[in-house]
Amino acid sequence: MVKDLIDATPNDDLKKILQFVESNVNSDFESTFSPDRNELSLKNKNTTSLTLTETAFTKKTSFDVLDSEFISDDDDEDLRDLFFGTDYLSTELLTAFNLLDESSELINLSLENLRGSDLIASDSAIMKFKQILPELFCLRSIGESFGTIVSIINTALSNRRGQPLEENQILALRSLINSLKSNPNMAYDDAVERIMEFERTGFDVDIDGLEFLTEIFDEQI
Amino acid sequence: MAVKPQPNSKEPEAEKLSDKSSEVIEVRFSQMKIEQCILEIRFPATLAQINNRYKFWRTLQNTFTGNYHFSSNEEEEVVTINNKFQLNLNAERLAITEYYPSDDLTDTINFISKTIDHAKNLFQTKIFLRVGFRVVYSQDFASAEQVTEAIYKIPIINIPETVKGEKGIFSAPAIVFGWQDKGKGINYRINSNNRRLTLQVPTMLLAKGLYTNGIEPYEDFTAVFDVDTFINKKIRVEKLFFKDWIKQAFETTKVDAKKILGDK
Repeated sequence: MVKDLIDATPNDDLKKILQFVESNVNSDFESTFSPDRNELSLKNKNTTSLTLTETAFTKKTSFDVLDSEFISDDDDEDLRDLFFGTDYLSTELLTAFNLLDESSELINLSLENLRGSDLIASDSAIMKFKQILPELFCLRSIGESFGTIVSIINTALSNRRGQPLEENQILALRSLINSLKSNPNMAYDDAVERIMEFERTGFDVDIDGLEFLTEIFDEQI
Repeated sequence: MAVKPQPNSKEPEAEKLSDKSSEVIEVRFSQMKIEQCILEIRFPATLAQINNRYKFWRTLQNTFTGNYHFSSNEEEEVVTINNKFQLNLNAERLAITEYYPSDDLTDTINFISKTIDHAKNLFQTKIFLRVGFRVVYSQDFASAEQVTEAIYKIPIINIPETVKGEKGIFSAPAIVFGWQDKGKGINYRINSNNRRLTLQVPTMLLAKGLYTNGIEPYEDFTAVFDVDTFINKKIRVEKLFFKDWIKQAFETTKVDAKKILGDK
């Protein structure tokens, strides 16, 4: 919706604002535009709303977003960018960052090889990445979300049963690792949301055999 | 650069204080002590914050035992704990100050970390708008002139000799510099701080024959090195590992401080 508006509007200032909205506002916001009033309204399920009126458009200045919910998480920003030096971080955090960096390199290598049609090299890089996961899991004291995401990745890769990953799956894996680099202690709800996105790329994140255990427990209850 | 101390009418007093000062009149980081450190967070005002302020202070009292002194003014609530910690709280800001903390800030970091945890839980704070951590170092000297002389000897303050008038001396210096990127930054401030506290003897005590010569004023002359590290962008509360962030800011700036002040 916002993208359509960007293409349609002849007003450069409005275009810039819409581009800002598109890149910063979460996708679950509904946007409506009234051209006669030059007014753009955004609403989400929780009825949080932002209205950009004509004043905002004509002032030629950027606007302040009043509600923090409108700002998307700074996904790409590495947590280390907030530090002045990483030499004095706790051992857990420092080790986690080193392992996550190593993971990113392997995932990128896998993606590169896949795009170069070298499936074996691509899969081999993912296998090497999988070996890092137990070490990462040992650092779960960093946060509940950290442990859950690492565990989910491990389960998802094991459930592939040797099948190589597709491009969108490698990208999803990379996104998940980047989110840990950005916010290793993310809120649990955020972690669940990210896992669901990850799952949508075709990963099976349920532990093998869990459904039988669930049935047994259900019967006992 | 030689800056001669001005003739001082209080020379004997300066001699008495000479044990406080270094033999060589120089600012040295190794001779500085931490006067205070301040952690400040800014957050959007929330209803929960207004509702839970009382609960917040009660929780602190349960966590850290000691003597609490509560006061407030139009702008904020001020609480001091054991005459060591001071907390200033208003709808959008919480500042935690510790005076004369330990050199490694271990207790300070623990205190701050626990206090912030309580604050963000009770105030339901989701984002910080700004996080700042300041450490104020100081070094004592025998006189105001010595402080000035010492500060002008710091290598980064490289004023050519010719700038100085033949008979003039430099006035109390204050230098601010720093850097910042899109999300964080550091400001350094070097200045002299001359404090004088005088006490007026009440007439009743004078009439009683006490303190007839007055109460000797308290004076100190210090070179102050103020390091302010900060994050000036919106940040989700769970993202910041406070203990790690404070520790690395403190230790990293300590290394830089030696270079800035030219410690050998």
